[in-house]
Amino acid sequence: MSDDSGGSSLSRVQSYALVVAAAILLSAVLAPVAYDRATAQATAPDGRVAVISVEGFISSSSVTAVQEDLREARENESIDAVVLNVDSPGGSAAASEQLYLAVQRTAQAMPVVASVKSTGASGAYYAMLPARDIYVTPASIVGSVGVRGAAPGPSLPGEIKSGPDKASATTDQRRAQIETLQRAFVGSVMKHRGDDLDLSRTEVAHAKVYTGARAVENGMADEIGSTPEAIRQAAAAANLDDYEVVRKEPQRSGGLILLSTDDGGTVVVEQSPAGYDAVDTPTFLMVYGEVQTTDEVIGNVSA
Amino acid sequence: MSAPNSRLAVVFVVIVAAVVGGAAVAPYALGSADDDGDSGPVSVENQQFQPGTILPDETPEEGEISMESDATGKTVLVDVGHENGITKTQLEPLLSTLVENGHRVRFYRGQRQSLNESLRSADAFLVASPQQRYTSDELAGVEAFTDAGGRVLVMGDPPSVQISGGLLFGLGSLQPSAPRTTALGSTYGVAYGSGYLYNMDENDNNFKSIYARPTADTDLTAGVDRVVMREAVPLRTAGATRALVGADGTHLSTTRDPGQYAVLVRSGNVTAVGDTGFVTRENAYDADNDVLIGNLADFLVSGDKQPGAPTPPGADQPQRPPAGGDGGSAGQPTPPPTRAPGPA
Repeated sequence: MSDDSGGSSLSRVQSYALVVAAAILLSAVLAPVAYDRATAQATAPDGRVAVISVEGFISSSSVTAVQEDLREARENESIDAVVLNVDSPGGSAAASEQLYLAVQRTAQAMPVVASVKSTGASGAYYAMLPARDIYVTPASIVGSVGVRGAAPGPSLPGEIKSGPDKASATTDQRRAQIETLQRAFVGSVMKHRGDDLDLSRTEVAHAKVYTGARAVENGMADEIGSTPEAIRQAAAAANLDDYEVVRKEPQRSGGLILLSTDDGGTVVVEQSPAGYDAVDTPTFLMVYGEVQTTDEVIGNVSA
Repeated sequence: MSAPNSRLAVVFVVIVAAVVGGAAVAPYALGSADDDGDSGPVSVENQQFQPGTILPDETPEEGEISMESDATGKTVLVDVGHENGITKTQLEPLLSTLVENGHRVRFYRGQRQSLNESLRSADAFLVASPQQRYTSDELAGVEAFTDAGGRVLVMGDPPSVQISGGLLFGLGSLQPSAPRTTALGSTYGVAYGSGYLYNMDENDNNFKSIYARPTADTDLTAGVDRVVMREAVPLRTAGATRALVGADGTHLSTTRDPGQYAVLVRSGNVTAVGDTGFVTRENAYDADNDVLIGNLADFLVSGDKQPGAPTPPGADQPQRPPAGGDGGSAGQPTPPPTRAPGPA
């Protein structure tokens, strides 16, 4: 009995010690997990800044990817600001407008800051107009607020059309179309940057490109700085002291695809029943730089 | 044994809960998180895209090309023998008007006979954008032609870039070419400038499509309020009458300077225009282009040329210095005309 009671009292102390030791051991395993989880939620990011790249020729397909990234930024609650990392001479007018609208929608939901790596001209400049700040470096170029398109060529011989304007347009009509797009483009520049610009509407419409320093001086851009500065500015605008940067790289589909068929305005019809080798759809371009013109085909861009 | 067991379990749970719970709460005590994650529907309004804001006015294309002159049976010689940068199709509205009013149109191709021979039987001479230089004989012949009362209309273009060779794979070369109008114009005190004219403020849907307005009350501009020139080069002149100048806000591409740039000038029997595009059928009814084309047709047939000029070689022919035929550099002011204008 004494053995029993002595054993039992001893075992009580022992068992308490055992339980405490086991509890501490288990806690030692679980506590870091709990701590990390909480750390992840509480300390590191007040929020996230998404860096979205706009690179190369702006075409319908390249815009789709960027639009997707922007939509995700708007819908993902953990993203609080967007930095557009721009390196593009522009592209198709329609695609540039699409991109502009997507950026504008995003800029209404959260701060958007643009950073121009080397070129942010024409359609690419259009796209970053809604940004609250445009960052440039001295050697980067922005501007080229203009539209271009091939003059209508002669219609194919031996072709039967249902109407005089079916296959082509007159030069007058094409001029008016380009003027219309130009007014929308210049109007957008004046809407977003009119207060900052030292340039008149007419000067903007000259479609000149400006190097970084000049652009900051005349109001086509806001600050000298590269992407990290733009990220810092975007975070500050979103009141983020502590933030994480999420990079959205463009889909690497190779340079060639940017210059080919469904982007550039030349749609290649294989095994054409009508005997045409290719169909040239008139494309309006908002692009800066040399455009190769082969006959009436305009759209393949070497930039 | 019974009490300790349940107590032991309670102690175990309390310790684990305290440590793990403390670990979970600790970060919130150290750092704070604020979340504002409400994203409402986003709508954008772009007034700058509305049709009323961006659709340009299109100049109504209406009118009729008519001639006032009652002269008939005049012969107009059209130069196509100097690699002229304009086709008969482009000149068609002007040529058709002449034919409709009972005049003859002949072409100088530079094959069967010399220019001077062709001029002898002509009453007026039309030169548009020649790419090949005029020889000194030809220049002398044209001068004798105007001295004898023959009318000359010179139409020029801004210097352009010509593509030679195939452009496939980027091969082939680009050659700048300017109309060889310098020597011809300088005889009459008219020089074609360099660059093109543009107007960013008031234009016919493109900065190069400038409006030109009359500055003087001349026969050439009778009934003209404004004309559209699609790609015009400024004319510089010492003594000729500046009949049409670019509207306010017209600039020169090479200097970007605004100014009163003449695009239509007349010096006696010679009229010079700084554009060829305005006569084409597509542009002939823009603004008052139709009136101007009619006036130019009138100008061509209103001369009173003595038959036989320029005189054949061997006769008392005026000779020009041999250097006169060079295209030379454009844009230089030229001395005033030394020849008295012929009978109007």
